[in-house]
Amino acid sequence: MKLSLDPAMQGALAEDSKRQEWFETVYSKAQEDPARVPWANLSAHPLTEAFVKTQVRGIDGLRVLDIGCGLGDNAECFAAEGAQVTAFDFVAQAVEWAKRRFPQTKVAYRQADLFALPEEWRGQFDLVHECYTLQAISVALIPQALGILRDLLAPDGKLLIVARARAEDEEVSGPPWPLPPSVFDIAKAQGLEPVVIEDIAATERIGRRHWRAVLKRAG
Amino acid sequence: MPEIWFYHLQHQPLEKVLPSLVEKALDKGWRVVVQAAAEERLDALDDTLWTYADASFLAHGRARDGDAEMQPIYLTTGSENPNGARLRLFVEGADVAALLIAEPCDMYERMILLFDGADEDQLIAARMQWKTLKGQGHTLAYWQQGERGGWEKKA
Repeated sequence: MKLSLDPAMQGALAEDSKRQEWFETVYSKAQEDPARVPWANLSAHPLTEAFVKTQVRGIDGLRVLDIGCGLGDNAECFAAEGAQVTAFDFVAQAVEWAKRRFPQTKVAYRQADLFALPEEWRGQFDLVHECYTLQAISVALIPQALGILRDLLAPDGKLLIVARARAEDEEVSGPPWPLPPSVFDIAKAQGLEPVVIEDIAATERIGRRHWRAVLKRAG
Repeated sequence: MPEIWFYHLQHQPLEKVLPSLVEKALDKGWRVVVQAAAEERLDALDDTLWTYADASFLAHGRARDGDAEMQPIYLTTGSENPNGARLRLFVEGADVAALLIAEPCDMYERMILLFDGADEDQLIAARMQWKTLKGQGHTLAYWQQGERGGWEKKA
């Protein structure tokens, strides 16, 4: 029922390849009920949370940017461990909702478009986290998106990707469009070298095969 | 101190057993260090972890790869634990007792020594390590592989 709102689910990708109208409609129709937002689990993604908990050096003090923050759970997970977190979403209603959910938050939430980010963010982040954003945009936009994510990284910064995974030849009927292994070749072409690429099988907690990848600026 | 388990391989080679042990540890949210006695063994394990299954792989790294602290699985012949592993696997004679003396090991939940029962040298080395560690008062367990590949606790 929720997904039938999405033109992309009806076999015709909307002219708006960022799917802004659909995302806005989902949040608008949800009327503050997170159960009506398909991706809102009201908790940090287990793979993101596990990453945060296993960092040997910790993430205290790191400048973190959370891409497509939705209702804020991942951003808050980073902030709870001491990171200085900026988080943005395409949809203003999502950002306002996140602020209401976490009134004491230290996260700097704001509305922004991944493809038109503030110039002052370039090169400013030690860790850029994207969870389920790349898989939600048109495949044609992924190279550009990865290039933008690269430009956000500080010289030693890392990009953390959490996304559903698929085999290269596996047919998909998104959205979302799980990412094939070749996405890491695209990342490389955009100046992002792999540090770790984990191929994580479906488990009781995760449900589906995922990538959890850490990439860094090439060179 | 970590519990120390001895895994006696009888019906499957290390290349079959090790990936499943590592997967279980990762499922628990643990990172893993695999310590071998020789670089040649690490080369072989390196290949195994990339290719053990047709449709999947286990991400890992060595010191030469850089960013060791980010690796879910770290392969070494040394005593370091750069990725904050809570499970340490010892293969082909790598010395558990020597590590316990040389390094603080409180961060580990478990250490597992895997040895091939068909290899006389490994069998003798494992017996010696058992005796040494027992004498040092460590908590030990001995697991033997059944014919179907499952593991039975024998001591």
